[in-house]
Amino acid sequence: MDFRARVGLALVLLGCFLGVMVALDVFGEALLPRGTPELVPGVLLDQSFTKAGFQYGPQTWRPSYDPLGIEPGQGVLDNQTWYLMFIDLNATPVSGDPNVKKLGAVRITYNMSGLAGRAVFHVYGLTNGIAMPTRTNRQTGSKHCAYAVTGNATTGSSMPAAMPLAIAGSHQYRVAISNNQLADSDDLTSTTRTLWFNAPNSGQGSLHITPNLLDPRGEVTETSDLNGTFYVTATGGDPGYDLILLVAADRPQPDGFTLRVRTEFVRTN
Amino acid sequence: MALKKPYFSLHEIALLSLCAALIVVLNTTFTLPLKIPGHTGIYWVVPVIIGVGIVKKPGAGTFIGLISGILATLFGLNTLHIFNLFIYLALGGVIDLFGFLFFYRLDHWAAGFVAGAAGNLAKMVVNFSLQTFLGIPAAFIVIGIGTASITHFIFGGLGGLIAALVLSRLLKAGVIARDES
Repeated sequence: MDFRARVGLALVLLGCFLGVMVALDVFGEALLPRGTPELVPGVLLDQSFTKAGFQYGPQTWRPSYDPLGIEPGQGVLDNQTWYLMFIDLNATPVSGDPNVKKLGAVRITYNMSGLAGRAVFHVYGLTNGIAMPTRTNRQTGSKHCAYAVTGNATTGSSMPAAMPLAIAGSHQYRVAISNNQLADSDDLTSTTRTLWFNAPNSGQGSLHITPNLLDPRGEVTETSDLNGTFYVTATGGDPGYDLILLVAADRPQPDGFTLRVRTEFVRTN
Repeated sequence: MALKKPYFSLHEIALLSLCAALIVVLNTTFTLPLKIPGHTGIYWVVPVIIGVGIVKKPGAGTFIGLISGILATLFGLNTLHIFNLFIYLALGGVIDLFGFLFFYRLDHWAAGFVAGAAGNLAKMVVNFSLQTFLGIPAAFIVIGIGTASITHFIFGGLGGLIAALVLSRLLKAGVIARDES
């Protein structure tokens, strides 16, 4: 076989290999065995919040390099106004890093009462890497995900604790978190967290919100159930995150609004 | 009694070792701000292909892989520690194989591209295999493996093109000869 034929044949074989890899990407997730999820005993956060927990808004966006929309699957919609609450979940999902063997997801159980309109959950993950930006769930496009709950309580008159968050030219946001149950670590006992992003769309696609661990890259879930469970999963390979839950409400909440959030770790390997 | 001639001459061992050291130097010096899997292949494969293209003996790429793997392990270049050795050996071994199959004409752009792409893909496959071996569920590993394969192919191929260009310039300048061995 002459030189050109050998090069051509090698190129064809590499093409076949790429085809197999793409097929594995598409179908492998469903075919390959996965560990049985196992709930690790211990509640990492269990706290109730009132409408005073919404410290930001009214606004149309959530933090990223460029402002992201809040409505699942949508960009920034000027006809919507949202009130934002940030909650440190005291937990981290882990995946992919060879130094970390206990892989798993964070299970979030919520119980709401007096919800007016829609509440949408998004998630942020602060990495411990120096050059790694804050991660968040993908807002639009392939594999975007979020969790939305709709209630039928009467809209409240105002949200006195909320102030609009200013768009930062530095792409860095220092946000107040609304919970007081914090992990016992020096740099995590502060009541603020800094979210920073280094490029358009940076940090999207590593963290996911899913109602089902068999679909770790998540989906948009719409429900009217005021009590429920969903998971935050990671597929990015980072060693871990300081996980921040963003709860966004699309209108002022009544005085009777309460949200209880409980987090646990679920091992997946 | 006649002394047995060593497989690699001193000159070849020195050249291959320098190529191996160059991989580690390039790995520590260049941190391209591309968040694309396999983008480092654009400079990883260059010294290996040049070394194999000059020495033109089976085992040259594997030798480069072995030395660079040992250096990378000692310098702690990534999270796989001692297992780095397998990644570098795979890269070198596969380029070795393709050099042999292509009659060591790695100065040809197509041969350089294919050898570079194959070497970078071998690195990816061994990396993923090791992660599976170390306990990462295969179901997580395959997420995005299609895109990662394509980017490894492209960047490895581009590195191979660069190496082929360098080799052809060295040939034209008379620094190396096509039938030196």
